[in-house]
Amino acid sequence: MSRLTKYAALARREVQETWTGSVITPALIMAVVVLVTVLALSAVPQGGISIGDEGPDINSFAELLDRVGQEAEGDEDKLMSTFLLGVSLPLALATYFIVFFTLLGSLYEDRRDRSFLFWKSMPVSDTEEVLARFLGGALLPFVTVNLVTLAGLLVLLVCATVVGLAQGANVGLLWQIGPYLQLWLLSFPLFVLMMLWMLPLTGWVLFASSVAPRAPFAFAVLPPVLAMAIEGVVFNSGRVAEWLGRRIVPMAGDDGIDDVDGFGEFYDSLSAMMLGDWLDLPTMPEFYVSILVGAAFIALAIWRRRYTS
Amino acid sequence: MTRQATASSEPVAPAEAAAADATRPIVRARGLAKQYGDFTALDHVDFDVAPGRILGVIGANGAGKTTLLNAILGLIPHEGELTVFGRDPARERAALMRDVCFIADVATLPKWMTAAQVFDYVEGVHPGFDRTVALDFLSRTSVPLSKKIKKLSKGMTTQLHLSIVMAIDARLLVLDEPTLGLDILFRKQFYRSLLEEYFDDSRTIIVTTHQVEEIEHILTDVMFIRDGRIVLEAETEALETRFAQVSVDACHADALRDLGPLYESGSLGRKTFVFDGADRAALQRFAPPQRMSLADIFVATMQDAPKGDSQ
Repeated sequence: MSRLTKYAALARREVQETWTGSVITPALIMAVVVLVTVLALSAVPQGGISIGDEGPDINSFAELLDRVGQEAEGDEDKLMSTFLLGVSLPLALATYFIVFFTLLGSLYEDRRDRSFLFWKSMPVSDTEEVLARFLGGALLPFVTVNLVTLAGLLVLLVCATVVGLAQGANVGLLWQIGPYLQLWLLSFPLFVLMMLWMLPLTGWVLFASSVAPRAPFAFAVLPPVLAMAIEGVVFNSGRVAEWLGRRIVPMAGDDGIDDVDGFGEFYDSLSAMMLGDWLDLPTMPEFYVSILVGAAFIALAIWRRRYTS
Repeated sequence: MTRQATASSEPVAPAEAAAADATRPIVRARGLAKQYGDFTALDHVDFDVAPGRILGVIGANGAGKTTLLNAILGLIPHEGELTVFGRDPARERAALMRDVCFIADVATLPKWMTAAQVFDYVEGVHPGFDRTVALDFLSRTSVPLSKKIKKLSKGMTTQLHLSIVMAIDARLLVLDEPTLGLDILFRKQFYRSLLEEYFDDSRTIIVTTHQVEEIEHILTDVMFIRDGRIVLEAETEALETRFAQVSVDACHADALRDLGPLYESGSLGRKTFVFDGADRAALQRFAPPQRMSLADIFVATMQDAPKGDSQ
């Protein structure tokens, strides 16, 4: 039996075990987002909206498409990509919660129901087991959420196309999504960078999952919260909070989106900010410190797992 | 080069090697100890388990049975020397699990999985698993393949676990109270399946249970544990000749006490004495010595052994 077969079995188990968190929950969130967006677009004829200070009110989805197309002339693809990024934002934010709770339960739940004894009765080392749990919690949700997001957006575009065609609109604008697809494809390697950058947080949650006798949420959250509170009271500073916050959003804070003119520039700034922040990470020493800190927590989780009985 | 080294480098005939393997202990413990704070779970015990045996590890709650099994399975660190198939279980658990199966005292199969998913997983990670054997065993039960384990009864879950164990070509099976919480029918069926479909001369079973009388007939060896120490280690066949029980009127009590009984109890004006290794002819002068069940021997041994006393 090859190692590949073993790792495939571990991966399949992770997908099965985290199915609700990694697939069902994102699918439900995306379904709600798509539904609300479709309803909002359908509501245009009833409410009537206006864009900018000039021009007539818009009373149909077809008029909306025409007007938006005029406003974004030459940058239609970036306009659509910005729109799709906006629609996918709720699910992107939810991913952090999905990762947190999946990791939190990964080593705790099987200790609680004693099924860890079954896993330990198999010829799988504790290192392999814990790493499988880690990747199942820290990487898998990003991948599944990305797939669910694309599927949801395609459903949304199909719905919008049907509505637009029914109203005689030019629906070609809706499918100018090249920049978004580029960003979507790039996000997969970015996930690896994100995972490494966030390793101190995800490693800590995994460690909490491996040691918490009960209430793993409190075990994972209270120590950093206490550290932040003590630092605030004693030193009147917030470096711990800043450091932790940067693990989630690595932006320096001084390269935001300012003084942009039109959708094209807005999208360019937005994508440069998103990609730039993540792609710059390997050039920073802090990146490698993060990996070391996170790896230490994972090593502790493996050690704890080894002697759980 | 020493003579010993020269000797060991000589080719060994396959038949001799096989014979040596057949007699070499698969579990070897010397000074095995485990401490939990102030509590001594295992107190420097020595024992061997030979291949092709069914060893019953018997003791009261907290005697150290599960700690012993956990050490064998590599689930806990320990002091002293312990090898299973020549490996250190604490360091080489994963490799060891190719040759060792175990069923714990609680239903450990992951409740979110279906039986089919469990088979998929085991098939993927265990080189010794034969899915057709597992499916064949399961087809003779009412366990559905597509139902989640949390929806199965405890009996069905145990049958499913047993089907996995049956289908794994392991040389050592460790059972820690495997039938706890099951009704008598399931318990009987469990041990019958083990004996008829699993056990052979190349396989070894180590089992702990409180239902001693139910497994007495299948055991080849027993080990009684008390306070982390082994108080009795013997082949079950030898127990019959070694232990004897005599019931006499109270007037003969003093004479029997002079023969050094292991245990004494009284009821309705009669006294019952248990002897370990006594002269049967001497006992016969008072009353016919009676054969003792394993449970009776266990009770007598446990009552007799003062705390901290060893074998």
